[in-house]
Amino acid sequence: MFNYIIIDDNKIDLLVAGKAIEMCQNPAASIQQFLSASFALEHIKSFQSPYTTILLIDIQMPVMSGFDFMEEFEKLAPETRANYICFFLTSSSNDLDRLKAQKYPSLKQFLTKPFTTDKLISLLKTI
Amino acid sequence: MSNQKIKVLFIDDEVHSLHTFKAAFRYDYDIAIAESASAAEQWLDNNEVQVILCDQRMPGKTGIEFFSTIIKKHPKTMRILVTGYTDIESVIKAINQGHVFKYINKPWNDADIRTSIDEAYKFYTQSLELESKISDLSKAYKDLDNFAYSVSHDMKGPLMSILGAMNIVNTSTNKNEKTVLMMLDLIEKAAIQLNEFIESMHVYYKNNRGKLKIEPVNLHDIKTEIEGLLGLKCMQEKIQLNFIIKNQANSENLYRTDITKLKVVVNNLVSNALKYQRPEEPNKYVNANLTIDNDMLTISVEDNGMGIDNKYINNIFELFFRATTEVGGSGFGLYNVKEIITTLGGTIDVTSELNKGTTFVVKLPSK
Repeated sequence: MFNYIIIDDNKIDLLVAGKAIEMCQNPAASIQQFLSASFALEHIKSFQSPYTTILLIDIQMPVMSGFDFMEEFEKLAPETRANYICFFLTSSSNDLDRLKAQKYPSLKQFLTKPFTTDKLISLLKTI
Repeated sequence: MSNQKIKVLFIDDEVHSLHTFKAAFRYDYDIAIAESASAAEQWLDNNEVQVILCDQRMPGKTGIEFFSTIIKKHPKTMRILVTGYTDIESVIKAINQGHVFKYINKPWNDADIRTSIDEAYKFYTQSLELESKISDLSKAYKDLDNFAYSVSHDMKGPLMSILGAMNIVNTSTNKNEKTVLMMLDLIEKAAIQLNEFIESMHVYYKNNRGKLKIEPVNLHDIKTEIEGLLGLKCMQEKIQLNFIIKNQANSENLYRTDITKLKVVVNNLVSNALKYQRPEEPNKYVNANLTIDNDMLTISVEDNGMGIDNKYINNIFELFFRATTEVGGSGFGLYNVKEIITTLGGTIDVTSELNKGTTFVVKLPSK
């Protein structure tokens, strides 16, 4: 079982991704949705869970972008980071974004929207 | 050509020649003189000229040698060599290497010198202009890249939302009615979002291309139109919109501006004020005042909404900038507003406090 944290400034995409996770055969321990990356970061800093958490992070967000979030995430204690598996989930098809994403060791994969149950299933196979 | 005289430096080891030169041209140009290459180099460290004329045959450095020394430090300065026929080989070489713009035969006549200096100066100003055009262009290219990136993101975003919602409907096995209805609702919202984005992009495009259409303005028409556009939202969200018009202009001296652009400004400011409200505030209000006084229109839009963090207050007019995740925005609105106000020769000011509210004040002179 996994926890899920979805970070996206677009409410629609939050709901869609949440629904896709709910519909997947693997039951989720919890699904948490954040409209703002900074709130998600605060949450990660202050809560601990016995389950590994899958982070789905949008890139282009106001105030704190997905890249800004990863910068901060990489500064967290190694034992905190070990509990999370990070994925970018974006509508960007920009090669520069992909290139920039490579510099974050904690980032596992670069996924493109729309988020579907199929994508989730193949994502889970890689873990 | 500007009223300022062209600055010319003349270098020759013959003092007599220097004085003749200065006497002949001091009314037409701003002349400096130097007796040797080294004196000229020193002088150039603290002074700027547009055109340098230098004698070829001098003890120490020749004219060509002098030019190749200064070319790195003063690449834009135009270089003219003054020389006799005997040096023709080295002159040809210097010209071919690009060190010398022109050469003038010795003994020179005044007309030749004048033509050469004027041509050199023309070339000088043209290359400066070209340089600034190139820098404008590369900025425009950068903006375009940024624009294309953001636009593709913002147009793709809602489409991906729609596809995601469709996927959920298609893969849900029991076609649970609640899920389907929820996804349909999301699809509609995404479509509205995309439509709004395309609308504001259209405004952006028109701002940049369109010519101003100046005509007398009736503020009451604007009030009626904006209230028609936004009235429903005010009712649904229980926001009190107070729209007050004061026109102190006399009837013979009508206020004139581009009405379409003025509407975009007012609509954007009022829409924003309605959009960035605090849900928990019981008495939500937006006060929009349009006042004409002495050919000056003042638009003030005040709300008691969520306010803008002062950290971001200087960024809010930037293209694609968004200061909050709470409410959806395209990052076009205030950019468009600012562009229009600049085009119309006006100003915009904003004061804001988080969780208290925001006031925008726009001043637009009559056209």
